[in-house]
Amino acid sequence: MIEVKDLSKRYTVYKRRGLFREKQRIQALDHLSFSVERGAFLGYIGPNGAGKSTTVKVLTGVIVPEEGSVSVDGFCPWKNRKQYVEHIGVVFGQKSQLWWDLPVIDTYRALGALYDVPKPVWLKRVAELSERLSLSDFLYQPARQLSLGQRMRAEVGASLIHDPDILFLDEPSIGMDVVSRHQMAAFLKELNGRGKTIFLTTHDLHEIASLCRQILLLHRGRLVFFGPLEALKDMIHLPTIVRARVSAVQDSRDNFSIKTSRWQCAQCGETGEITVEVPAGESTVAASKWLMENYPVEDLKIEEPDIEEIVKLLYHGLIGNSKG
Amino acid sequence: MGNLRAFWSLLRASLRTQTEYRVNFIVSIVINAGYTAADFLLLSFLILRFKELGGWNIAELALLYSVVETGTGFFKLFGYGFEHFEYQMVTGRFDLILIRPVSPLILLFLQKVDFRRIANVGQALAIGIYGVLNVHSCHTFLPVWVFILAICSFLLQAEINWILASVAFWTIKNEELHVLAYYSMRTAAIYPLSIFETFFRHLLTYIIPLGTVGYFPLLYLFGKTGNRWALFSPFISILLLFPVCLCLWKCGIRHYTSTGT
Repeated sequence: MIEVKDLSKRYTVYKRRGLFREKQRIQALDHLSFSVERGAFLGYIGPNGAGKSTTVKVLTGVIVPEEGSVSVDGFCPWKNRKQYVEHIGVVFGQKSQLWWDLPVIDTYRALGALYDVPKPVWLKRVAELSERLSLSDFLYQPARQLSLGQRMRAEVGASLIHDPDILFLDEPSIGMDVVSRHQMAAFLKELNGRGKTIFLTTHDLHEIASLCRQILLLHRGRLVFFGPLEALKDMIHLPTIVRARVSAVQDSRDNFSIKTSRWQCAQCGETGEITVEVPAGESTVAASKWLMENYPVEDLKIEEPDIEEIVKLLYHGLIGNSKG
Repeated sequence: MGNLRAFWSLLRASLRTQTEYRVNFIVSIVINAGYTAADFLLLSFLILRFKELGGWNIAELALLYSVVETGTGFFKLFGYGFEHFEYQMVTGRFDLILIRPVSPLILLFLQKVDFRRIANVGQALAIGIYGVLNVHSCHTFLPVWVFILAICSFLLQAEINWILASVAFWTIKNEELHVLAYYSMRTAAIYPLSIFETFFRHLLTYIIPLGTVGYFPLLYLFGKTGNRWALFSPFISILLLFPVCLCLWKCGIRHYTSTGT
């Protein structure tokens, strides 16, 4: 349904060196290819400058690429732009689509008119959005008076006035408090359940882990990974950590490693806490048993590798490789 | 073409945006009327001092002024988005215009309907009426022609600003160019071109053809020349410029690269 083939885009950037300008060509997208089914919930990640914004801009018909083809539901975003954009909703994290001096409801009204949404349908939709995104408190306030979190909720609402089939969200949860973020996540999940395709660009990896079924990782315009989150975890092989709180505390400043033949094991000098690193794929039962047999364990905690750790390692590897 | 409902909605929103700050709205109308008047004061001072300019008397000069400035007023009423197009380039907000199922031109035209400019239009019309009533011309349909020329003036100025806006796709900032190629030329066009030296006259006739909406057709209508081309020159310049505008604009959109985020 979204088919990207061989997408390439170069930018010309001018770097200032003293009095002179140096012309540099940056390959923002480098023969990028991927395809996404209808109804997918895709998380788009990558180090800063990877080309994520550029991809979204090509997919929304804002930028024309140098090479390659894009087909979204049969449309080419930049060739049939006006017909195509009726089916998409966009939230650009940094650029507000709300009329700054006017109440949010006025923006919604103008958008309703722009997309030719019939009045009764518009009323029903605004009521639903207001309820699901908790907009009623500030729906009649000018956009400039809103806090960042409130504004982002209003932006997501604005992108849904015309009930698009595909949503492109760029950092939609910036500034939102925990409750709002969960509320929006639940709403997005429901929209996806109704059949909408969602393309989410964000640096909030926990959000991606909880919402997205597929992840697309980009670096320097090239596709590094495309697949489910589980496959990403398998790629990196971070261990599962078993933590044991023990009753006999040594009370020393040093951390010392415990010799075992099977696992990496260490004990914290101050708290006496013992950590065992269980390699990816292995069961934690053996390690837990071993701990309980050999130490006065009071409590056990099992920590799965955090997606942030996984991605951090990935980014280090990517950035390190490109520098080397 | 967008639909009527969208047009009215955006127009209303534009008006509400400006009247939201009530005091500022009223003050800016007054101030705007003020500098429009000041603009005209220079011309009237010259006229009163010299009684005629380049062979044109007061009534004729008033008509010339009116034709050019009515077009300007109407353009500024709707053309804010074009005049300040570099803002769209610098901030990358043009993206937001491209994601709507309507021609970007319409959205730019309705970006901000500058209601303060009604003062400009009013003043230009008033001066025009004075000119029509006091001028000696053998053409019975003069008022009709003046009306047509005012429309041509609006169209030509829209085209010139459209071209200057498109340039911003490549240069990003185009404010200085705008001042040079539009503001100063328009100020010159309210005077009879005969008072300028050759190079400037040619510039205003062939390159930035503002002379063709006021000076040349009025030259014919006042009987100062028998050359029919003078009367039809505004239509020629509007028609010739149109493909240039469209081409440049479309090329610009293809070339548009937005900002980093």
